[in-house]
Amino acid sequence: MAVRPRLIDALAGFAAILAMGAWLFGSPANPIVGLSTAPKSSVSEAAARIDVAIESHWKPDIQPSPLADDLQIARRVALALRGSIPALTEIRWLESRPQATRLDEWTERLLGDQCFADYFAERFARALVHSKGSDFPMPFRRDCFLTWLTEQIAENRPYDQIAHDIITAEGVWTNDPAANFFTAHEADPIRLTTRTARAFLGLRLDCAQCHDHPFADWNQRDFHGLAAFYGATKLARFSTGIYDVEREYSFLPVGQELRETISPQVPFSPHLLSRDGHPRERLANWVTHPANPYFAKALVNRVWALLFGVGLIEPIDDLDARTELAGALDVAAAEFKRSGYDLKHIIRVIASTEAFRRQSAFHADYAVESEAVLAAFPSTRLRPEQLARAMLQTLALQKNDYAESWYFRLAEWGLVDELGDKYEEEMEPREGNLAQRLMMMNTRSLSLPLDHHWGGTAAELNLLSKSPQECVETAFLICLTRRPNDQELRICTDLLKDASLPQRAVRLQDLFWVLNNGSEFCWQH
Amino acid sequence: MDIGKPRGSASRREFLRFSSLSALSWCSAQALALAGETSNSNRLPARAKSAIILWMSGGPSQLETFDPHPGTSTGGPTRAIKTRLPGVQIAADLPQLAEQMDKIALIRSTVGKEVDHDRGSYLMRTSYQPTESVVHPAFGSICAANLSGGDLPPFINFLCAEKRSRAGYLGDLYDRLIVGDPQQPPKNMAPNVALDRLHDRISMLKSLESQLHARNPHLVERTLHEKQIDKVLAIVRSEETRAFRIGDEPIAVRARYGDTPFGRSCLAARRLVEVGVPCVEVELANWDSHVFNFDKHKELNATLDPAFSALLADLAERDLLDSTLVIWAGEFGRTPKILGFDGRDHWPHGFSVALAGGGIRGGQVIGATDPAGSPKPSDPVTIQDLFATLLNAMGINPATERIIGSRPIKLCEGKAIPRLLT
Repeated sequence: MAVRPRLIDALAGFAAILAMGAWLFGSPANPIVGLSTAPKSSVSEAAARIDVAIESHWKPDIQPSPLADDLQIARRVALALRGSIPALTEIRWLESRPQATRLDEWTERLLGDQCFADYFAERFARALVHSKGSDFPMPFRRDCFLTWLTEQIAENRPYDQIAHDIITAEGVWTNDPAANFFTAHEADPIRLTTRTARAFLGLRLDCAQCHDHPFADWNQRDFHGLAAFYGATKLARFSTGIYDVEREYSFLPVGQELRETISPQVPFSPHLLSRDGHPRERLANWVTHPANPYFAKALVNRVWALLFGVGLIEPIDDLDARTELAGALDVAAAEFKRSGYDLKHIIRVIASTEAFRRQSAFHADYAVESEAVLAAFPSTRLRPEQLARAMLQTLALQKNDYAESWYFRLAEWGLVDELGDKYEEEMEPREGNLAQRLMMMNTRSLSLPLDHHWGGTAAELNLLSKSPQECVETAFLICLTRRPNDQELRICTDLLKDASLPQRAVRLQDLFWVLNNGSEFCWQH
Repeated sequence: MDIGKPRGSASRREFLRFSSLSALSWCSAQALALAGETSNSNRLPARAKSAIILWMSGGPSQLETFDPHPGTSTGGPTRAIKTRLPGVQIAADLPQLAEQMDKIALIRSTVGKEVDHDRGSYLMRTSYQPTESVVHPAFGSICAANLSGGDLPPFINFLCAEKRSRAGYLGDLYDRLIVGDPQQPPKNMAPNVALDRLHDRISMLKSLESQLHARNPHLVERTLHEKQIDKVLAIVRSEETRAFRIGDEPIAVRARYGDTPFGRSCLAARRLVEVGVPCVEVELANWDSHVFNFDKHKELNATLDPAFSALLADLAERDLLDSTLVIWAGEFGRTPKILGFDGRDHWPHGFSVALAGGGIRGGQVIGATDPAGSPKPSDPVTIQDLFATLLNAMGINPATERIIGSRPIKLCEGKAIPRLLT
């Protein structure tokens, strides 16, 4: 573990340029064929166990929401797994499948798609390498890490191995992409420890950095003992790589004048820590040890939050918080461990729970309460990248392929840029700001492709539909993944009824605008 | 599974249970905010009604702007000139500002803790060092949340390159709206269809939303979607958006600010303040002079000097200066030591911040830096105390607390500096 990358420092600059070239012109990886490793029954049994754990805390008078219809669930799964809504062609495909299995088939289809690995890795990476600062002066270090993580997720590599690789990574940032976990934090033990505790253990130890934690039992020695595992890790000159040196770690105890040297030690379960070996190797083995009480839970809670918009425990990286749903997290984490840390398996399980398939709450009076115990699906605002992808998807009848097409990546980038806020406060509840609403309502980026002179969905619908009713129904499917009810159909067909063909095209643009600006479009529900 | 240590006392559990419930009810906090309800306890006697922040991104050199040391080992080729303020000299490249120095309270001994751009600007803009656990609101967002404005968004930034939100825990409603050079109208603020067609669209949207409401009142009410739509509609229809149209100003006024994006934005900032926007931020970038420090500053000063001085004079002529706090600051200063290729590095140990207008006692200088380059300026002013002073000038109590996650956080932990305030 002590290869010093200095000799190749100079080459790293060229490598950066090459990396960018590969990123611009490299051909995308082949779509991975989805293969369910676990038999279906094990998925539904595990899902049922989680549901039992959730429901065991329900008050007797609770009125759980009924299960949502298949299309609505399909929309949820697509937003969670690839950040966009189902395309019209996909809806038609879904409806052609047998009802009993179509949702499982849909999840499988999404999990096998490169779009899933791309999107999930990006969301997941924010727990690891997102820092409040930008990535200056090495903007490609994050991309490098992300590409690596995407490959791991596409291959469905066991998560404990991924975590182990990250914690023990070393070498030049271009050759050893996982090492960018360290370069992204300038190899600073404080920041690395904060990240490690939050991402891999779901613990907010950082409060204990300067003082003992005000509410939990963590103290300053817990934090700095953990930080000492990273004490010998060094960033090579020009931030080009990571290697280890012989160095002791010290910290300033609260109320003291002198720094105190501390050797690597863990804040709990010390018997799981091996006595000898390289500090980061020891740390990685301890973090990923099957008996570590937090590791599996931290990941499952994060995956849960990516599917539901909120975690079983909130904030998602503060597992010390005990709530009614903590029992369900224990069950789900046990299943994750049992499956050998199989990411796709736990996604299948969570997506199969009744909790995931319930309608969102109807009655404002007890909505917050029933969402809190998952008697109803929580309504959360779509993230900027989900909103951008959903809007772009309404411009096409077929699936926008982000893994294949540069057009969509650029268009998405432009919209997310306008919507703002791609990286910050990843899982915080947000209500959306005025700039975003201004953009949704007034942007010209979307009006051009919608304009009938240029083709686009409104024009295609206008020309291909046999009746105004069919126009409206298809527009609802494209934008909201559902059919209109009678009143909606009436309101919308009134708009189109007496119009000439060119007029109808213009009014269809209005209809798309209206559907895309409604609360149903902008919120996960 | 055994854990080496007992976890979680009963009181902590209770506490977190409470705080997790309150996290779920975040939308009612937003409902309160939208309804315009604010607690009165955080208000002090108001001095300024609006703030204009001139943000010098990159970190300007104090030695080439407001704190020259000509003829010393740290001074470099920068010359100094006399100002309206007896005995106070500033860089010779800022002759018009020298004429306005009687309005300015100059702090030459600001001390920060961060030497990284992002961390430094976070500290300067929020008064807190960045942490992983909470995002603190920027000064402008605090103004936006505490002062009443008109139809326009309450915190508007000109020329910022980064899209980061700055309202933090105050909520998205107080994020800044970032716009570009006012030579072009701001993006997305005018409808992309004729106004009557937009009205048709919105009435259709409302009738569909009421359909949805009949089936799922929670979704519609919780999202406050309709209120946001109404806010956008108010902006689109508002006469106040004319404030962005600097073309309406006489040519002589425009010329005074300078024909640069920064100058034009400063002029637009004045117009926005006139229609009651609580905070406007104008950015001038590229101060990060690790090489060719003197040439860079000469160039940037040529942009800064007319714009800043015209803004102060213009505000004063219109009787707006007493109600408008003007802040000139960057994330840090630059090293007294001159490095290779005439560069200066980052320096948080004594740098200049200039204040003027509402609530501020102009015509004074606080602190002094050592011409030999010692990192210990006399009469040091911490960023926390500076921030508390600025909040005071806006009539906002810096000690206002909020429970964020599991702990109370003050708007600012500093103490206002009385001699800076009127």
